Amino acid sequence: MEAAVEAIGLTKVFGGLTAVDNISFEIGKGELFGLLGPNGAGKTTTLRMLCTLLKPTTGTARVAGYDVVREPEKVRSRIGVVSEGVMLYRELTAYENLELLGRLYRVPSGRLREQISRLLEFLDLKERAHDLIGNFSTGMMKRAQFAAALIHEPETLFLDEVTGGLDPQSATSLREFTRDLCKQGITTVWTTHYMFEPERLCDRLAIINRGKVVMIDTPDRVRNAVKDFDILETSLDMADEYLLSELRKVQGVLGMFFSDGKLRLMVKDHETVFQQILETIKARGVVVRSVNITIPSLEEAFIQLTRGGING
Amino acid sequence: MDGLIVAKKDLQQLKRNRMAIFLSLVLLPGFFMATLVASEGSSQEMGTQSKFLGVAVADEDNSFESRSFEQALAESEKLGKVVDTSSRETGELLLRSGTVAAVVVVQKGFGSSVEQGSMTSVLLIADDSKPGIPENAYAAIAEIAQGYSASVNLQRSGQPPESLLGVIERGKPISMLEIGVGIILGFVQVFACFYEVAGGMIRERETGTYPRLVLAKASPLAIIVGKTMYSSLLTLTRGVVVLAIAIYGYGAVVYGNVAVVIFVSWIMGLSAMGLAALLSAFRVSGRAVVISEFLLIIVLFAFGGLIRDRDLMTGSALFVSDLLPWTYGFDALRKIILLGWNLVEVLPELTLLSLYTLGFYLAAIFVFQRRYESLLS
Repeated sequence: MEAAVEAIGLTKVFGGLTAVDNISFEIGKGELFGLLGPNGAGKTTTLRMLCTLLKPTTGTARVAGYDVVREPEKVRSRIGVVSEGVMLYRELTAYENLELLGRLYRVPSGRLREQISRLLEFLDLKERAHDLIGNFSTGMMKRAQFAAALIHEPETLFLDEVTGGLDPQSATSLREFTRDLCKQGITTVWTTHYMFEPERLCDRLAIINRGKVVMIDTPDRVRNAVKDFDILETSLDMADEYLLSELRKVQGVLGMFFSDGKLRLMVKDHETVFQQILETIKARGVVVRSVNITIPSLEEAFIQLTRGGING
Repeated sequence: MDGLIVAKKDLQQLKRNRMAIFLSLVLLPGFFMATLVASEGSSQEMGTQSKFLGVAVADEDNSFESRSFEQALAESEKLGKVVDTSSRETGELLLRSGTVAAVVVVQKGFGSSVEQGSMTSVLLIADDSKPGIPENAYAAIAEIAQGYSASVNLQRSGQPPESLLGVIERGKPISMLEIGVGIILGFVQVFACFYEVAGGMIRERETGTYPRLVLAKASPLAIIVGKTMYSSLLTLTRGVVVLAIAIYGYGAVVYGNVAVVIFVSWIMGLSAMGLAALLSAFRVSGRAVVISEFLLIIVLFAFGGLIRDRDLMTGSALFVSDLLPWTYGFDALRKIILLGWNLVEVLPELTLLSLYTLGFYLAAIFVFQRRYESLLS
């Protein structure tokens, strides 16, 4: 696999706090790579180091074959970034924003006009090309940011929590758009804390917690790697805080959370704890509508790997 | 090249913000000019601030009485240094160079008139392009002259150089409005330029467009240059607006070249832009920019010669005034507008102002490079 992105012992220390601790990984060309982690895990800091917006304290990274510390200009020519912290000018139109950035990237005039037209068409913004960005909805703004990130035809795209705050339709269309970009050979690094996104979207993912890489693999393998617990999926007619706290006390319950209206309990050796869980639920006077034993989802694997979840 | 692109972008943004155009190019110059006109005619405080004024004495009489009068001037606590000059012409040269604020000419016949007990007079030449100077000098010298039964004839010297040396009567003293034109012009430029550059840089950072520019390979230097070009264009426009209001709106007279006046006001603005660039390299907030601007204005008012002429300052006030680059800008504008000096004649002031400007910009670039990372987060 030819590496499009290569992190080599990346470390970032802010004051006394180590935000990213000796992270190393490789991302292949055309791969859609997810960086997963809870808030404050170090995903965005890692991403900002890869995009040359932060200098690593130690270690380095190579993006598109160039060193982010020694050759930041060359890296910038070859990457696109969509992030909350990297915005467009609200007082300029979508067209003017793209034209400004294209000129700074030294895209030749003729090529720039074609590229703006193509991107606006592709991202369904052609009708609003001459409207001010400040008048755009959140979804349109995100699409415009995608266009800005792609104006110079980058080899690698860094997407930082791009679906946050979007309605489901806009989020889905951006995910599909990203998938299409990868098919065209653009390497994409996607940071998120929504577990279902990498599960459906990414070729591989890295789980980061407290600044360290916990695991790097495909979503399936990450799920299967966590074999020391089962999921007891229950459908209850109600579940209050008291019931949840009682369930937490049951020996063998590692964690729990709600998904699609069902309470999913992460349990060690379900045969042993099954009866005790049912008794606890009944004791609270709650009716159990259904019970299933399932394999862990990526989210559950993630919680297990990062020792988080509502069980703390 | 990148600087031009950034400047064009700033102009596009300004085009969409009519209120900013109105504030920067119309309201600000108009408001300050109107304030100046409203204050014109206010009386000058006399005789209370003269003790730091340097005076040259040209004794043409060379009598016992005239020497006694000169001695009285030298010993008076109401005046600063008293320089004995060989002739009136030398005194006027000292006045022109700024060594003294006024020249006292004791004309022939002074001694005999005093001896005979008849009324006589001395001639006082003072630079009325400096607010309050002639009045303060007059009050101090008239009190001493009274002891010799002499009156003081005040001759205001604020004319173009040839008439200053040739002592041609101008017919009317320089008005407060004319004195104020240079002050208001410099003040408006410093005020607006500082905000345009510092505010613009902070806005880029606070709205997240600064990292977008950096990712698009615009260097901090290019961004600063772009902001400077943008603000320079506005500065030149503002200069024209202020002078147009003053000349055509209120009938002020500019004795020097108008283009030179605008050029000097641009250099003053440029130094404010440099200071603003330096400030914005320190990752300050928008609120900090407003507070800094407020402080800058207070310092300018207090020490820039706006309220009190530099010749009337002493000690730490004079020291602070000398440290401010805009002091030299105001002085250059005064000399061009009121005394008709040309560009070459104000080169010393412009050189100092330019050195400050260069220093601010170099420091800004240095700090930007050192603090590169914190500005992106």
